Amino acid sequence: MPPVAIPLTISFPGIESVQSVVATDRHGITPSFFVLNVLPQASIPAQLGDLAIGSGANVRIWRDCLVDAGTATFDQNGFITSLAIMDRRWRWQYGSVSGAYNVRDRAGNLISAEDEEDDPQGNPYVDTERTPQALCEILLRAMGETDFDIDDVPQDVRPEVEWDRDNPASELARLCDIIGCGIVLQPDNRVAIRVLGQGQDFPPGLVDSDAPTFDPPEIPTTIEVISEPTQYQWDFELEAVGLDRDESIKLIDDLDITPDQDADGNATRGWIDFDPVLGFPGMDEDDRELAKLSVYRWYAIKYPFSYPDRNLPNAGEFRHKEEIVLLDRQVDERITYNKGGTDQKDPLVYGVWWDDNKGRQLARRVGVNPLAVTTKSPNVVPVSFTIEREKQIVMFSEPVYAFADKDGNLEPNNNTDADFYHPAVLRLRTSFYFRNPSRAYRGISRERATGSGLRTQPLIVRRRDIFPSKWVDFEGTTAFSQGVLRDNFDKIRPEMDAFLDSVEQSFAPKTSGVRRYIGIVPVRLDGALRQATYEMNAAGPRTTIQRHQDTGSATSTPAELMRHYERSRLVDKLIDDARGKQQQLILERKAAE
Amino acid sequence: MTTVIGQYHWLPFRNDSGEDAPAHAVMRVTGTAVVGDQQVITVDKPNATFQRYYAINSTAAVPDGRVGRCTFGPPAIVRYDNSNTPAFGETWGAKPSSWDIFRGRPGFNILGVFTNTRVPTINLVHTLTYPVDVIKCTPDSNITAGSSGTASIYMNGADTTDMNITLFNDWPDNGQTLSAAKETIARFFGDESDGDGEWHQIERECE
Repeated sequence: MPPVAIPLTISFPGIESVQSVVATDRHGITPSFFVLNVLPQASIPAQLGDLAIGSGANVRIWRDCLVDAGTATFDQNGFITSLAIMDRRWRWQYGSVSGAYNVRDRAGNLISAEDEEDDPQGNPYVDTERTPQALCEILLRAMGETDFDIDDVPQDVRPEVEWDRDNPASELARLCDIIGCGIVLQPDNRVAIRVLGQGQDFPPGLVDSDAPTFDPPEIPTTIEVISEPTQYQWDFELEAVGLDRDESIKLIDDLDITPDQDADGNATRGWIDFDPVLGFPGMDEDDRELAKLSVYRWYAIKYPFSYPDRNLPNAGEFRHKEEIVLLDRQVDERITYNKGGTDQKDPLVYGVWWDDNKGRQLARRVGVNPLAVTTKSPNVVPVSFTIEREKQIVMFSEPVYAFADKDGNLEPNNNTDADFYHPAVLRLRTSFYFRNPSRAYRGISRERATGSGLRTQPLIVRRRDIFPSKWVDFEGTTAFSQGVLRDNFDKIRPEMDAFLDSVEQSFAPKTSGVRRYIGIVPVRLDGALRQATYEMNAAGPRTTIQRHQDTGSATSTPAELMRHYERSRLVDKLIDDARGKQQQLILERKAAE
Repeated sequence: MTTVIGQYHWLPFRNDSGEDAPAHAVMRVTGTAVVGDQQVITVDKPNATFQRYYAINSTAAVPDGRVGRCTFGPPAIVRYDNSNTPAFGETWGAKPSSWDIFRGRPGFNILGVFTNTRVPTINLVHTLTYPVDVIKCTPDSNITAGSSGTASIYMNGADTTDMNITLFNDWPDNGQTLSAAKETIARFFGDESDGDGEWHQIERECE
């Protein structure tokens, strides 16, 4: 190769004579590295400065570069000093950013200004919604950037982020991964966010070698986006249960401890003869302890029950507790105190029970009427409780009971006293997940055919931030069978479809490869041109450009991530090998001395 | 309005009446007993022996021989006889062989009728109980000076024979016999004689 006739430019403050340089400009938040081999000189180069590399008029200047390390090597060319220089992205390792944006409530709804309203205490509602562009701007400013190009950043998603004095550059890289973008330091010294996969073709120039790669995407026949399990809300009928001598849980009248006689051997009529508030005095003492723990305190979900959703197996009839996973929250939402958001209401129990504080027991038709049951309703039991989700039992902190006549009638005719203890007639309003016999949960899914001829199984993509829910609206009804089934599916389907779009787009075919040019070919990286390496040495200047390939920048698809991972391992191995050899040389030299 | 049913001081009792003690029943105390490991008071249906105070059952009926909760008030919700309607300021009290309180008897100051939503035919009334220390009565027979006899308590403004006390005619007797049917004011003294508490005449109708 004849010597290059055009003048070369390699300059850095304090460096007198550069023998060769390798400069790699790439995507991402880690600095591009430049390795300069310089002849020995008396003065020490500046630590900070602008690095200029180019030929003729094609000179690229990297501002604010930092000398990272210098090493002296002795080889057949004599002493060579190598300097490692980083572009100005070295500053991005510093700084912090805090904030929580695009926050979802437990129902998966974005806490935004859309339904803005102050909470009951008058605290202003906090709007957490931010576009990806706005998030990029927050992060770039936290990184110290003032002039940037973020016009390409997609706007149709709302990724949830939570930053607590985190490094803004790392968070920007993470965000870019989510939205399929790359971070580029442009020749004009501006930072740009570019959509990966979109950008220029290889630039024109004198091609030294070309290595196109053919990597057609493995497009699945269908893509299926799956939500979190559907949350169903229901008012479960409860029945009184207790703990038996063998620790089994049974209906209270089926318990072995059910007293048919008292501790003195006198016959009794069962539970109505014993006062739960006093702790069943007069019972056998061992049995009494079990009764105090559970009788009139534990109420289990009654099976079977029918949920008015004909899309469920058995037309919505549930026969076993294994068919559902009980949750301890309603689908209904409330405004959260002092947090500027909403969350799901706690479960509640209502029905016919004796209110000792008010000296009142609502009539059965009033107490278990589903209409207008709110936390303020008089039929809501104010006694605290926990839900034992595995056993599907409501456990009250004190006995909850009703009064009935001796035959158990809660509404006897008016000539009969009804003041004997009886289990309360209760409903539990909470939610559950349905799971099929294989114990898989049921959520909702959106499927799209790609037209691929590969005849694959569907590609399943799960979205853990999409929460479908169904509930029964009892407004205007007087019976549980009259409730109207409602859901939030119309609200979440568009979001799932938008996600299908982005997944499908990631399979768009790309022309990738590596092209090597003679001379310096200035390149402005984007979403397609991922990396440029400039080399200037005795063989003359060369530029190597990688399209749809890179070695260490942000990645967008699982396949790219794997490729990147494999490459990183390879690079690490090469570095280790080189270090080993260098160590061997040093040892040999010392041995020779 | 919230009542204070749930805030009473409850005492366990055993119903020894031989029948179910209905909710809010007025009950006569007969002593104490141990049920299981629990000390309870024992009660019976009111009888002709007047007591200065009565226990009031809770909201639950208590079968015969079983243990329930009772209170002595002062605030208490009590069953009443619906042949009259209680009015604020009246005094009502126990009657033999009944779980209800009746108008014109001592022991319960009426606050007002309690609306019973559970079983509307059972009549309940808010009361303030008070221990009866002074009553008007008439000896059923002559009581000589320094001795005692049975006296009937004035109820509803008239002499009745259904509730009695044992009346002593001793230190203010002036040596005179207390004649039968003479209107007498009796007062309860806790420190008389052997300390078991006694009713003594303190004023009487002229002989």
